[in-house]
Amino acid sequence: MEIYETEEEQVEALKRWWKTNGTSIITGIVVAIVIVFSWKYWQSYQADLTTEASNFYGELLSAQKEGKTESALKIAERLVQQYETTPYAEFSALFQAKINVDNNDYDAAKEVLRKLVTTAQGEINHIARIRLIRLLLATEDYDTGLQLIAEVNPTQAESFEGIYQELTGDLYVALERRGEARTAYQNAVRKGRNTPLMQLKINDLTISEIIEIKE
Amino acid sequence: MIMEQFQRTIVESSFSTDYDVEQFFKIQNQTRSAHFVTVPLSTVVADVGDDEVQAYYQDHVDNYRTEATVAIEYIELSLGDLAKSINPTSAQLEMFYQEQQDAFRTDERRKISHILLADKNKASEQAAEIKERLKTSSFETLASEFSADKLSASKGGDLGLIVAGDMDPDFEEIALGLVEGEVSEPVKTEFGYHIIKVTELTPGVVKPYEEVKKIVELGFKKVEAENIFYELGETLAEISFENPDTLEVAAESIGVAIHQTENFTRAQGNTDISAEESVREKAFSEDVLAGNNSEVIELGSDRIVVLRVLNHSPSKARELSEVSGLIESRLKGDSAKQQTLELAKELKALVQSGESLELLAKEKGFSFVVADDLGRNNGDLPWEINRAIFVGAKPKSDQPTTMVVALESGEQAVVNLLSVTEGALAKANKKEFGIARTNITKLLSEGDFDAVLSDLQADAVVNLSEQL
Repeated sequence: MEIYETEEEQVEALKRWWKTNGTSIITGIVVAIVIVFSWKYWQSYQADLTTEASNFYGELLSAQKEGKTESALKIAERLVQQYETTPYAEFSALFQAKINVDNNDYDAAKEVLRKLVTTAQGEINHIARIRLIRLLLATEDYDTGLQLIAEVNPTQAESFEGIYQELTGDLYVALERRGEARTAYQNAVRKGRNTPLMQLKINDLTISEIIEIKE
Repeated sequence: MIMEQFQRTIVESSFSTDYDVEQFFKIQNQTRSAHFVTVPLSTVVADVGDDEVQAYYQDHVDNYRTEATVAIEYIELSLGDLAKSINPTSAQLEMFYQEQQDAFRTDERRKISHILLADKNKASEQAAEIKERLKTSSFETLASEFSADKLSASKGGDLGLIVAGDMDPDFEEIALGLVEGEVSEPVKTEFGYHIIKVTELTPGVVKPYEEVKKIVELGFKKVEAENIFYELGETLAEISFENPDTLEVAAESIGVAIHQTENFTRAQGNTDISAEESVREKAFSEDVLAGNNSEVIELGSDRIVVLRVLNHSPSKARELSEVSGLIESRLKGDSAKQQTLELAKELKALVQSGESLELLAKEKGFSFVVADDLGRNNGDLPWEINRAIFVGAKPKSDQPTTMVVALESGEQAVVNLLSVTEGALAKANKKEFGIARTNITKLLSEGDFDAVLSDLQADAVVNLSEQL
């Protein structure tokens, strides 16, 4: 840093510095203001959009609850298309899939879920994936089902591991690979998915022929 | 808001497929057919040698220990005992009576009636008229004629017993000042003008000392005893702590005797003070077993105890001679079970080599049971057998699955699982299929939601630890 003898020298130095750098600073400030304003505008635009989507979504939920599936489906489609940047698009896609399944249109449901599996993050991705696998199981596309499970990074799916293991077991049962099915079910239990139905599924695959219930 | 919508999304968008429902029924409604025989407990009594008993004893010596016991000595300070020891003079009692008079007072009973004049303009005129007519008519008659308080008017103006604090203060002041039968001047309240009469008056009285002497005495003793109780309690705590090797000093200083108990265990006391769980707990505490006085133990709010161990018999192994009978019969029982199991295994091996379970049963004189088309939840068979039938491996092409199943009774069953028929629910049965589907969807949605929730929680934990 320079050391100035007097105040006058200091003022002179400031003036020199301003001449060389002043313009670019002003430009910078203007740009920053523009960016801040657009960001604020974008934020409030998003907030409005989200509020709107939230209201629509409320309508979807009540339509579905009242069994008006046709209008529920219409709202869902609209939310998926027009409110893509809000979380409600993904929520609605899950309903789209459900309503398609209830209408026995498994292909349409699979398409919706497949799209979610490629785009959605986190929990929604897992839920979509799990439901897609249930549909693949029902439509005898077992290998694709196993493939979808294999794609999952286990370190990021700890909470869903029990369900994935159960689905693995279900797929192997369908493929008549009973030993692997049994192992998968037992893994599912170890991951905390220990429902009464799970126990029945395991017992249905007993391999050992000897049972001696110890005292 | 968004969280609630998120939850509803996961739960309400859940679905199940026909395949899910069919698979469920395949398993749930499965039926299985089996034959079995029960091998009864062997009646052959084994010879158990002394060496076997001794070997078993040495291996299981910890199963045959005596329980630790202690006997204690203790001093007790009780409010009841203290009260009994107090002998008040009559002067003390009379003083106490004077101090506690409120406790011996019966409340005054004051019943009142009123006439309400609600129309303020006519009030003074009406009041004058009422005053005049009271000379010839009763208050009741005039109340029913004049009073704007219709509810009481129909009862001659009766308001019942007056309870202090319930009425308007001005009204109350006048009402409480009247003597029986007296009628007041009009009193102004927010409702209008009231003319009040006291219809009944039983003055409150203080019960005379002679009448309540017993109660006074009890009360005095209780109050005195409480004061002494807390004082002596502190002394007891201090002195028993300062002299941890003996209770005598403490007993002397508070003027009580030292008592003793018989032996008792940690779990089970006698009918004396060792019946108290907290006494047993302290008696078996490390510090007390080491020979110190216990802390002060409170038994309810009116008894305190300090104890020390008089003698202590630690848990120890029981002598072989004491338990050899027990061990012998145990070994005989084990042997009978073992023989039963071996016979059952023998039968199983014969069946697996192709012999008929039915013929083998006949030969041995065991009954042969045919259980066809069993449902999963049938309650007719012993549960162990039913469980085995439904856990047993599915038989492969006419080769039954043969199992040995231990029963709770010590008997063994040889079970031949013959066939498994997958359950089915006709899709045509729309109603039942629909219900099942709803339930399965619900089950799946719960599983999905639990997973989502635990995932969100895991994320939250990670975020939190990053912030810290």
